[in-house]
Amino acid sequence: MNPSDSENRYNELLAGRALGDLMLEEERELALLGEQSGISPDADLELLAASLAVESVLQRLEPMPAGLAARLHRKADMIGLPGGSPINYPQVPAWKNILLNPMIGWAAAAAILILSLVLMRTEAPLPPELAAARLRSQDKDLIERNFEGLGEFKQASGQVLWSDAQQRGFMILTGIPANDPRKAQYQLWIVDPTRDADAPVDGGVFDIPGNGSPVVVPIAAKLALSKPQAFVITLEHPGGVVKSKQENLVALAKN
Amino acid sequence: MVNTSAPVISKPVLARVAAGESGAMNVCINHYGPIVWTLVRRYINNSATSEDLVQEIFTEIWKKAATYDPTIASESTFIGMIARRRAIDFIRRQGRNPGFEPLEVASSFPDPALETSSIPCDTEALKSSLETLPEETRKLFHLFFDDGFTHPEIADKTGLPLGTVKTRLRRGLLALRDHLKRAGITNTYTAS
Repeated sequence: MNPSDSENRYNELLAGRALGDLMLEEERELALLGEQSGISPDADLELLAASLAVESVLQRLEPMPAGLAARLHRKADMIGLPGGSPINYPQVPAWKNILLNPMIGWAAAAAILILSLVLMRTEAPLPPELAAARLRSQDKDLIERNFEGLGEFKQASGQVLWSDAQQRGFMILTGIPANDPRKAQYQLWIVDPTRDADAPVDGGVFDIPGNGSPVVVPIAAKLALSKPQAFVITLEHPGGVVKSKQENLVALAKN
Repeated sequence: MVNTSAPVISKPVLARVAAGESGAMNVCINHYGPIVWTLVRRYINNSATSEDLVQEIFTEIWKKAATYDPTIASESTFIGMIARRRAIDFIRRQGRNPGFEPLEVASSFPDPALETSSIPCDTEALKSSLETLPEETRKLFHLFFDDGFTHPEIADKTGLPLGTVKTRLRRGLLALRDHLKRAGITNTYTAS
């Protein structure tokens, strides 16, 4: 193949790539010819193909499904993209809870504190809202449920995302009144069908700040979960409780 | 094939997205969502898969908004290029197109390449350049870009061998590019 033939073939393969019709051996050939020629492919053909494709679809535009549009906007909000309401994500006061809760021994407290520090170190660069977005993109079986406010907390709403595979999850909450952590704190409970239905798993204690913005709260489940059926938020004494009397139910998300 | 009445966004939005302007990404989703959705649906039949892909595309648009250069392409073309790349790579990975083989590599597209483009053109230029192509090639372009037929489907419809369809489309695209280069047109790809 003389240089001119090589160049022609290279261009033809670039056109094939822009049209999306390259076969495996052509893909390899394109890479090889690119290496041999030392030419960096430009975006001309791709832009041209995109331009033709866009001009064509503009004549027959289909609206996005409403659910998809809503998810895109939520995602934009959640990952901190401009356009969404500002999101606050409070620190889960795990160490403080442990110190305040007499039911948990110092050994357990120390162990969980170490674990918290490890998690903080490994996850520090990733804010909760970015981690939530990543969770959505990583786990096809992600459990997503909507919260509904209960009783005097009718204004409460939001979402819960839980990945069984990663044993991680987040809540995105709105409309829940701010709490004074010295007087009361919110606590998440998770109903796991593989465990005792009367003893939901503690999902962690958290606070709601007073500015009314959506709040992203990481779930801090104390036990491994399997396909949780329901997520319940209660208002409890500072530091949370081991077993809730369910006197102050705030919100419920269930299958 | 070329439509000159593309919707015009009142104010370019990608620079605003890149600058972190409040509300910009939502404007982008509202305005370009139907374009991305319609493009993706031309490649992928499954609705749930299409929805997943559209979400990935908008994440990529957000990440790449700062690389957009309005002197090279319109926003819709830039976004269309990202959407097509994603859709084509998805099909390749899935090996769903019977004419193609699945490939394990991450992407067939080097990235970024936009800044190296050298043949900006506008809608009218594109339209006039298309008219310079042979009638047979224009017909193939119409079937591929407007009707969204795959190469095997076009071969079925036209009675041409699959290899001929492929070659004519590729060479047609190259001829179009060369014509635009020769014309030395200085505006940007498409007007929307």
